[in-house]
Amino acid sequence: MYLSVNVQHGQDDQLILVQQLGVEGVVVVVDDPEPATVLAAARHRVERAGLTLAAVELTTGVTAAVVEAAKSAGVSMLCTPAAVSDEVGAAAEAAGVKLASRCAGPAELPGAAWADWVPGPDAADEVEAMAPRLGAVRLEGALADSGLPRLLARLRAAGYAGPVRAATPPELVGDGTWRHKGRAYDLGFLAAALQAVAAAGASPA
Amino acid sequence: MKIALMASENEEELRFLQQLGLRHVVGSGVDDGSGVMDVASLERRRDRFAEAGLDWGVIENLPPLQYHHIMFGEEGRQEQVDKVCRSIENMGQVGIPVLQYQWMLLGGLRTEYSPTGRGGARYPRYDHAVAERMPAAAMDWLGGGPYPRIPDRPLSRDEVWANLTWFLERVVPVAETAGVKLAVHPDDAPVPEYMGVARILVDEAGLQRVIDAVPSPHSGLGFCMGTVGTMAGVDTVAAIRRFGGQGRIFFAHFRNPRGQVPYFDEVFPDEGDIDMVEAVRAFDAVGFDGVVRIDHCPGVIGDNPRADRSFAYQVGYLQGMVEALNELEG
Repeated sequence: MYLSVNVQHGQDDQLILVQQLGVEGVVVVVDDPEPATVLAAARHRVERAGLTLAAVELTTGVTAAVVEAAKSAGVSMLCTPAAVSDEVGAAAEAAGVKLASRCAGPAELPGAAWADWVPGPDAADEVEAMAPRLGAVRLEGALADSGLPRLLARLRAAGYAGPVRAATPPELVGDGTWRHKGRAYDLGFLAAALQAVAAAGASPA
Repeated sequence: MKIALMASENEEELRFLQQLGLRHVVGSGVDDGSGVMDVASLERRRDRFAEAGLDWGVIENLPPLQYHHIMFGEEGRQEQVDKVCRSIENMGQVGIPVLQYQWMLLGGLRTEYSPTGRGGARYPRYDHAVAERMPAAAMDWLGGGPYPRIPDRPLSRDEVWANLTWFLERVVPVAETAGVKLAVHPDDAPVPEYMGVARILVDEAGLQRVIDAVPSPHSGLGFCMGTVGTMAGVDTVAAIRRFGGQGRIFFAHFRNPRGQVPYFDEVFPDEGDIDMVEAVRAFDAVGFDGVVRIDHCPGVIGDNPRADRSFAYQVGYLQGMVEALNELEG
């Protein structure tokens, strides 16, 4: 499990800022009607900036052609807000590309894909059910007072090794459209929570 | 602990603090040239903060031009100390409980602010070899005024201690009566001497000595984690336990350095030498319930002059750390 964040493809200042704030593996959001054409470039830009590409998050559904493009580009995980058909899920498995579909909990676990989990209020108690098909974690809403530390501790205990990112940063005064300040706040909060969870696990009180 | 940022009365600054979920604020001292922080000015600022839902828990710092003659032990110190006493009484009247001051005759020292950090972040740095070779690099803040300045003659350790003790003997009884706690910030960078001027609060022995100089529950430390962390050979967590255990940490600065004198960088809180988990645990263990202010921090890409992005990261970091330890360890 590691600190991650969504960045927009082509916005290099975002890559630099999140690197400065301690992120190593980023999720690049590609908002392009032809996503297959930009996957290789997305990976290249991330790696030239000194980061690793945790996943590409698409704003659209995924087709078999996009899966093939991801394989060619060396993109190991695609996240999508859309449902995944059995055919595309099978193609992804065959291609060795992890396809993570957004879901809210065990009742929505996508049969043909992995989960890009948006944890709800009872998420800590759902970790064991999610863990076998958990590709990524996407936190929405305010991090404070959300039960996040307990969720992270359960994920750690379950052996989850993927990215955790806060995807809806707070709107702070004077901020830009990408909410640089708000994302900085979320990254700090999440970084410290991960650090505390690791320390608590190493020396339980 | 009460997490805070420094702020002026600017509307946008106060909204920023509110949006970060802060309920406490640190404000600068009032300096209108009279030498006294007057009641009306303090009340106005206190009320402005309160309108924004912020409690003004600390003045940082006592304006140096209100006591520089005392620091240097020169003519004019009696008049200044009388005015400082009035300022402390006024703080008590207005209900501001902590006054931080410092005893750095030459001010703070840094030698670089270069993009040498993570992802090219700008880390404030102190390199004593550079400071010795090029004093201008460490003192580019000198403005030609009465403070900070290079004194006309060397000042020994004994002289600087005598001046500080003279000050404490006069202000601590007033602080006790006024209900104000005096918190001294250690010398940053913590080098024992620079340009012939002694710097006395540069190790644990110095911090203990200032506490013991005029013993009182109203005389203690503004515990700057970054400065203590850069004192040669000092374990910051142990120092929190030592001085916090005596009830003498009245205020704290949250910052994490990498390295110690003679060479250190100010880095992000998650990558410095201080184990921040243990530090927060230590503050909790000693029952510290004062204000912790997020201190100066590395420069990041595209930030504004107030460094909102960098401060937002550090506020989030400390809030996340406190919440996680509370939730996981009770």
